[in-house]
Amino acid sequence: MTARLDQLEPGDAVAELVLPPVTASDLHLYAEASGDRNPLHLDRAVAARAGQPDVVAHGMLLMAWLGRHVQDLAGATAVRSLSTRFLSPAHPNDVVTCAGRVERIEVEGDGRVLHLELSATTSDGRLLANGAAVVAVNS
Amino acid sequence: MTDATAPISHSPLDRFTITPLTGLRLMIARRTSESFREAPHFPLVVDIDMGAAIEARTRFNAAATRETKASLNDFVIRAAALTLAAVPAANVGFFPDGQANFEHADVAVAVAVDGGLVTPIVRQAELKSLARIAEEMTDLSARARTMRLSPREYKGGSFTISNLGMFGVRQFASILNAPHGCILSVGAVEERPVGRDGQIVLARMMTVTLTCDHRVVDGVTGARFLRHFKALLEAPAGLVGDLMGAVADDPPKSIEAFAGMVLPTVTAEITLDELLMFSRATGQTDSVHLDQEVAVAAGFRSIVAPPTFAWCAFVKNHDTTAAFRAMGRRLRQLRHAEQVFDYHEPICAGDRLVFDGVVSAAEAKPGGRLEFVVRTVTARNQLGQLVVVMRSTTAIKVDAG
Repeated sequence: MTARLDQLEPGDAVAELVLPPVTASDLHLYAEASGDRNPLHLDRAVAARAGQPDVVAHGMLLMAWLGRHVQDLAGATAVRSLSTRFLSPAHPNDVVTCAGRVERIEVEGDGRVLHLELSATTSDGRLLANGAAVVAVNS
Repeated sequence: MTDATAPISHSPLDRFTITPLTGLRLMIARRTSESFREAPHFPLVVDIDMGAAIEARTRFNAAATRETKASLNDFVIRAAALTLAAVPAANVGFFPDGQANFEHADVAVAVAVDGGLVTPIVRQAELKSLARIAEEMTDLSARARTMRLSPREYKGGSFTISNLGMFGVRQFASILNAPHGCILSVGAVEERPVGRDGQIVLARMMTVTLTCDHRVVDGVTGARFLRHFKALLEAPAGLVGDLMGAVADDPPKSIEAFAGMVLPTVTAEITLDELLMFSRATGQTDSVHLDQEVAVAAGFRSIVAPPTFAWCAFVKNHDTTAAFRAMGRRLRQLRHAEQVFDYHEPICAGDRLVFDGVVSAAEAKPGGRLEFVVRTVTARNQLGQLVVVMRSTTAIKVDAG
């Protein structure tokens, strides 16, 4: 971790999370855990008919990774809101990086409330999703 | 000739007694005088054909329980709430330091009580089904009449409704309930001759008056409010609740018709196994998601759900494509465009969550190739706490159909 959240200033980047390459079995496991068994995520033939090179990772799985990353930085009950816009699908073998930057900071009582901008990109530079989070940090 | 400066006097022929004003009357006297004097107010009047709403109410109540039987006033509350969500410029208030833009339709409803009136509030009414509004209003007005409301149940709000229809009043214009920018005065439903297709027919008409505070609400805003409100009551399918079966056979062409559609209420028991599975599937590393002992030691009831789990808990227990089938849209046309979570309380294993959802926006982009549908879903836990508010935006590619 580069710096603790309570030491960051507006404009600073938060630590990155680089995930292992996406696998088809990740998507099967998430389909079972989430109940989203849309064949686009599981069946290459269906994905091909939709014009995709391979099965498509669930958008909500990307968001779960972003949420996990923010929460690992801030703590289990610190996340007040989380939003994600899904821009481009991830596929098996993509290496996804979750990143973030402090957009602004508000002082609230003894603590600070950080507004973060978030992104998930592949190692070849494709922006999969962007979003925002609001987290409360006690100093 | 009367002397304009003379104090209010009475004649020795008048016979009366003086009763000191009660606290409630003093408050009403002070607030209405202030409001009437301070707010540059104007009324807008519209007539609404209530025939379809009365029939919808009969059908609705045939299937309702005693607690959830809806009055026409409950229809009015729900229509006003959905209209405020659609015309946010009317969901405003005037404060000395600026204009309040309310996030929710917190609808205050005037209830007559001994010696005055109080205005209990249906909070976030745009997110509530007709049955839920009926249930809350039954409870709030009963407790208002016995003076058992807590201040947070009648203080504040974003909009007021006053209904004197049950007394046969045809039309009236209420005094603004400051700081609300608008108050809606609802008259009686009565048969009136109206012109229709060149003929005079009898219709069950209701006249409503929207009094607006011109400091924050212009005439056009008030007119937009009334146009939307009238359209909802005259075609009340969107007010009545679970439409899904009803419209699937003959879906309207326009996606806008689905704004306000209520999703079926979903209940989910959150099990330890499903939380562990979700935590593993999303690669959680924080032990509060994986280890019961750690979670309890950290002060939680049990293992804590990771950030995005709430949406999955909703989707797993809800036929998510049904809403889109009802709209005549196919799965392959849909793309999840955006997702938002506002967290209030943690979700733990063993919790029982109740999800209430509504189509909070539905619109076609210019050109008609792309449509957007926003579903807003709130979850409450077994303790009655608001757990999370979720908004999910789906993009629909129209050509693919």
